[in-house]
Amino acid sequence: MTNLYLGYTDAELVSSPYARFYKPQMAGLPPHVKDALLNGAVAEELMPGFEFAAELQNPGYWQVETGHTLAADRSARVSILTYMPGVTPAMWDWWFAWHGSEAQRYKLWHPRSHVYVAWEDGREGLDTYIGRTSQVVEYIGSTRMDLTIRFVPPASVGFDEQLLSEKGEVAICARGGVGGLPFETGWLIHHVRPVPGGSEMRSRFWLAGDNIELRGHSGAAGKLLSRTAAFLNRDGPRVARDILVHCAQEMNHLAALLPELYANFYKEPTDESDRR
Amino acid sequence: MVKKHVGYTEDELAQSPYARFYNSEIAPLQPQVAEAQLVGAVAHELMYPVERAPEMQSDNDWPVENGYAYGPDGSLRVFCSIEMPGVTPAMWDWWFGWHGSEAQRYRLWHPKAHVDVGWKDGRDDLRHYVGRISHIEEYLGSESKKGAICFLPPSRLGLDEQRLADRGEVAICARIALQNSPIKAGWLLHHVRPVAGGAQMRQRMWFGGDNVSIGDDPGPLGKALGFVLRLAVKYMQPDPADMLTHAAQEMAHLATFLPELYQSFHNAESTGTSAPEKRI
Repeated sequence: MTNLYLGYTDAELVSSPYARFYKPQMAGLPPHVKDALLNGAVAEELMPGFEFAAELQNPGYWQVETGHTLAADRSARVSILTYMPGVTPAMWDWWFAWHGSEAQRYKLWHPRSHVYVAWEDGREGLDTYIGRTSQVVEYIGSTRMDLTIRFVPPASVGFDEQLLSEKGEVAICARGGVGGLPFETGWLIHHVRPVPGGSEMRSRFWLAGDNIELRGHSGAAGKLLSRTAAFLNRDGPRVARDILVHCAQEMNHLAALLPELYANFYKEPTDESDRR
Repeated sequence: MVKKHVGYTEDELAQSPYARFYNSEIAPLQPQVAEAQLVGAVAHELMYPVERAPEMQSDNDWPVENGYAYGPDGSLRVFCSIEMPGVTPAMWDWWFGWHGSEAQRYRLWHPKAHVDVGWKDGRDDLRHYVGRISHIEEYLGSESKKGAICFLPPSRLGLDEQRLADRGEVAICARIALQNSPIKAGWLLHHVRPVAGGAQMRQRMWFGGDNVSIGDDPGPLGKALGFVLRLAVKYMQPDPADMLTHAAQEMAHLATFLPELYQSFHNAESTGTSAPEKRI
């Protein structure tokens, strides 16, 4: 893979159709995120495990909407709430399909951490992401990581898709893995729902621990290897806070650009059968 | 002899000619530093290596002025930029020549972390620092550290000294080394530039990884040893968050009384009226 660098080059700033949306300065962290970082890790029982993911659809909020914990299985759970004035859930649905085919698009999202993106199927210009795998290179803290994001249907993690669409909500759900390794290492969900004046995103990460799975091997041997990998993973607490920072930065940053970006680049699907 | 310590003892508070400048209370971190601490480690690409030190002289800020990163070579990079109302770059130039001969001066700077200081050449009468070695002992976080600060001319890091002078700027440059050894562990740069109402200090610390060497111009054997040494330095590496806090605190703290200190000790010395406490 070539062209692994942060940001836009001088030439890209001149030639890219997205250059005017590229803002290398990022706003400070919102107060509730600063507060969560200052508080540090919280009790595991305040942050439900992945098996409760579908409860995101209940009205109201979870006990910890922004924070992180290290669970007994050594998994890290991270939650981030982002308020996004002027943004609709549909814009995020569009974004997840649109950004994955060009690094220049991906870099708009987190200009200080995002390096590269490509679809595993090599197909650019599709307006879907569910069922596809996005390969990304990004910094989490100071560590540059090759990650795979396998998007799955919300129903597969327990969401009622009919209810989501009735309420005008979107749930972006994915299995996350480390590039080049045969393990799936975590789950992520971005649940976006309308609120007065815009929408709010409730991001959830469940990483390592029991969330690790040897790809395609759910039997005993796979479980044993997964457990071993989980046991050897000692970076949990640091990674959890770094992900909290990263996610808060990218979601707030893009939310400020998204309405105008959507107005400029969203195109009506030409053939309804292309949609999922 | 009193055991080594941070701060001033009661006797020192009663007797030291610097006692009226001693303030044991440190102000909260400046907001840009507090934010950087919450953000934590960032991408090293945003924090240039020491080879790009000459770019400190461009008018633009660097992508990260406050923060820290781990480089791919295992190095630490710690940067901070501190606002200093009422301060001039010349005051810092004077300070670096002046403070190194007495622990009581050094402890003014960071009353909760600085322990001891002394010039390696033992010449407490001199007033310059470039080309000299300052032995220091201080806490980084809760760990006590000793080191040698080997001051270098700014041109050694590629800075244009004429341009610095033309713009009224000062760059304090040094190699961070182990005391009484040829082992160099890092680089230090304090670039002080005038801004409206005072000065701004932009600090850069590069530590470990490719910044480690034996001597200044090692041969093949030295280079091989240097490689082994890098691994060792990795285990000695301080926590970059502690380095950031320490640097931000000491610079902001001294800046609050540096103008008055300078007035009292630099001006007095240069007019020759009452050279206070000149100990030979």
